[in-house]
Amino acid sequence: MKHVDAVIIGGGPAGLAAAIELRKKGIDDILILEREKKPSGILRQCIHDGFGLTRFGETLSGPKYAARFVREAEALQIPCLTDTTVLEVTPDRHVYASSSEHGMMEFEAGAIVLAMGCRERTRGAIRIPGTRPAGVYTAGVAQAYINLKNKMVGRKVVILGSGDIGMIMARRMTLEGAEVLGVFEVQPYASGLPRNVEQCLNDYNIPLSLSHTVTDIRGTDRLESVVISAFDEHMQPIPGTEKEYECDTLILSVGLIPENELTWMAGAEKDPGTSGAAVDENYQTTVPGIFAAGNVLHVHDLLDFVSLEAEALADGAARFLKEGSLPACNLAVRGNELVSGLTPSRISGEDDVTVSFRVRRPLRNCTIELVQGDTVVKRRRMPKALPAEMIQIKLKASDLSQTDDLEVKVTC
Amino acid sequence: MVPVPLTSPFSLRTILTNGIDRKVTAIERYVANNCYLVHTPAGAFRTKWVINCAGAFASDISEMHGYPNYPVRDFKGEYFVLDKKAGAFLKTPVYHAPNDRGGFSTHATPTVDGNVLVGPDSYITEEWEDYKCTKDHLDGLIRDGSKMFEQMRREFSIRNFAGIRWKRVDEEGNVLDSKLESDQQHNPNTVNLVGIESPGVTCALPLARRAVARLVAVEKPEVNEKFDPVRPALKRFYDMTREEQAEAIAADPEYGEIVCRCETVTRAEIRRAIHNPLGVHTVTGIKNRTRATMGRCQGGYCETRITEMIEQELGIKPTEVRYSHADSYMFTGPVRSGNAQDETTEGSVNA
Ligand SMILES: Cc1cc2nc3c(=O)[nH]c(=O)nc-3n(C[C@H](O)[C@H](O)[C@H](O)COP(=O)(O)OP(=O)(O)OC[C@H]3O[C@@H](n4cnc5c(N)ncnc54)[C@H](O)[C@@H]3O)c2cc1C
Ligand SMILES: Cc1cc2nc3c(=O)[nH]c(=O)nc-3n(C[C@H](O)[C@H](O)[C@H](O)COP(=O)(O)OP(=O)(O)OC[C@H]3O[C@@H](n4cnc5c(N)ncnc54)[C@H](O)[C@@H]3O)c2cc1C
Repeated sequence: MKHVDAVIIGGGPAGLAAAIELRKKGIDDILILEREKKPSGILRQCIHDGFGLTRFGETLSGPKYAARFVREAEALQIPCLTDTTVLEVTPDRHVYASSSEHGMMEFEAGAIVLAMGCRERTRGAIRIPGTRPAGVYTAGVAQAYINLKNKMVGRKVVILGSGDIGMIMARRMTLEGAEVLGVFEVQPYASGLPRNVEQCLNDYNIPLSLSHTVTDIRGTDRLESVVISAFDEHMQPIPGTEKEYECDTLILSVGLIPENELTWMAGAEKDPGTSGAAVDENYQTTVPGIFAAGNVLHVHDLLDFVSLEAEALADGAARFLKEGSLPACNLAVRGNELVSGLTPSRISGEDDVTVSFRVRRPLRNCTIELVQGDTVVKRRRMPKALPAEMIQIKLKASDLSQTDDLEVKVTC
Repeated sequence: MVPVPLTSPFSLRTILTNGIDRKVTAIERYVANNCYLVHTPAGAFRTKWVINCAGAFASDISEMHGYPNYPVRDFKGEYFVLDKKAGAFLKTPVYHAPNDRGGFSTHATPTVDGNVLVGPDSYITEEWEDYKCTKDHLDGLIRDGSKMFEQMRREFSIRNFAGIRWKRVDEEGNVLDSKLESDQQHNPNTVNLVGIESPGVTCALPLARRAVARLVAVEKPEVNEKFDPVRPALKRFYDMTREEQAEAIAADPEYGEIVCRCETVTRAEIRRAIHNPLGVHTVTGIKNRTRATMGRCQGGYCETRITEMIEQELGIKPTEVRYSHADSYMFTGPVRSGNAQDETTEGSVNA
């Protein structure tokens, strides 16, 4: 068993940014554990561009954005064990990891940064009826096959779900000569960013059908067709609207789920709103010394926010390592019925804090108020708010009270 | 409490999901040589005895080696597979009381692996090999299953599947008993099992003993006293202690590479499954043997790795990789000509 001051689980953008920032804050003994052959996380396969506008003031491809962090980590000589999968994290901060090269390893960590990213929701999770042929892929898996493995997954494609990755794959497959019959979304609005609806679908004449979903999958060996039905406002299929689309591929872009198996093993409590860990303003989970940021905490739409969040985490983690503990955060953060995915769940009122959340449905001319007791700490009006776009609001310590819980109220 | 023996049905069903290269298509009898020739796409096999235990196809095989093509009906049942997280809430199978005819339908069963199965329901299907799931029946399982298992939550559902019980029936469709027969006079050296429906897994050993007894009665073979029927199961990496895991990796470094993260299946275990004498060569075959892709991410992490292993270990092209059945090919070709690049280059690719 080896002691390490800061063990970082996951070498994606969150893990890399946290590691670099920790080193800059004077923490020398850092180790990144990454199960892939190279660090970079999911960005390896996101070869489209559009990353980095907030952070670097220019738009980069995913691999290029990641390369900036990888190079900086290398320059700072931060060790990263790749091909290494973490199997277990204990509440007393022991980390078990396995690799072919180094065998079974155990580390005793001063602090742990959870940066495992997220996984995709699958067909089974949304219970699409039908047969179980080849040719049904989640968007991220199709993206990995096409962009990393040079394997084309199909020629005639239906896309279910208007998540960003699904729309990006609609364009990607069109560019590679596949015929994309359409993108179908069960909600009455697109779940991904408006930018992607424009640039990935409209620019390529790929139809987007809202309030529609796949109600049957057909074919025994390879997918032969899917049946699409229109849905009413109660999310029930409207009889008589079934239409069969012949295709060999169905791509699912139906949501991302934070990858928190290790988090729960460590005994951290869940935030029911984000389905990630409940964290305080320092990104510390309910287990002292265990921190979480990036997609493992809550799913981000803007990569730049992932990096910034991980850098903010490093502040708290470095302080924890130097001082042995962090001040208690006793004030709860709550949202009203229009608010989802609210982080953090606890604050102290003594420090600056960034509050992140989404609205539950598309809204026009809404008002956001952050309230403590009878005091409105911050008010913002928004002409338009979409569930696809995470909203972040920064609060200054000087504006906060140390006695009242914080409420996020969205009204429309 | 009566202990209920449980086993995993998945590990028992690999052949069909491994392609059909050994599917029996015809059986010829050679009276002079006192043998049968069993034909498959992978060639013919000469044998003295034929034991028909072909499940779904038992009636066809029955006819091939001289017995009637017994009519059967397909009683289908659909299932939910729930996350191992749900398994924490269920320690014993939950059934409702049998109905007037002694039957029971949807129940909740914890599996030996820690998942929960909810199902099966039971209804007749007229379509041949109809394994699809349907909205009505999945809704029914949620309704009835929630009564058996209140933790049947949406977030726990991993996968749905269906199975078919082939029951022997008479002309009116009344269900008849299963058959275990051997007609030494007309079809020498054969045993015929048809309509082995539920609980055929539970009864598999006694049925097998009876079938073997027919052969023994004719052949009167010498008993091999040295035969050891117990083959110790290989311990899964997942079930090992940390010390055992460390030893396993030291002995075979491929135990250190976790291919399937949800079920903690290593490269060494998948390689073994591929090269085993009853080797599996498809994604589903590997899944049924090793549990890789069977967890909550359903292959989101490991499927790209498994397809690559199938190519490498078997020396086949990506376009030859199959998901499960005969023509279930997964890839239509390379995206771009030239060699596959494992990692994208750093430059901005305009895509
Ligand atoms: C398929 C896909 C496509 C996306 N496309 C876009 C996009 O176009 N634009 C955008 O802004 N955002 C996109 N996102 C969101 C994007 O993931 C995030 O913005 C960002 O990559 C999250 O960074 P992260 O470091 O939190 O997670 P990740 O990038 O996922 O990195 C997590 C890392 O942790 C490693 N890891 C996980 N578990 C373990 C373990 N047990 N042991 C060792 N290592 C482990 C993983 O291998 C991975 O390298 C996409 C997400 C996905 C899943
Ligand atoms: C929904 C459902 C629930 C059930 N629940 C239970 C339960 O709780 N308990 C229980 O004990 N039983 C249960 N059963 C029944 C049990 O699964 C069967 O009775 C049992 O699997 C029958 O075993 P078998 O070996 O006769 O046939 P099978 O398991 O069907 O095996 C036949 C094998 O022969 C192969 N084969 C077929 N045709 C050919 C051919 N032409 N050439 C080469 N190979 C061929 C097939 O690929 C297959 O591997 C259930 C069944 C279903 C469908």
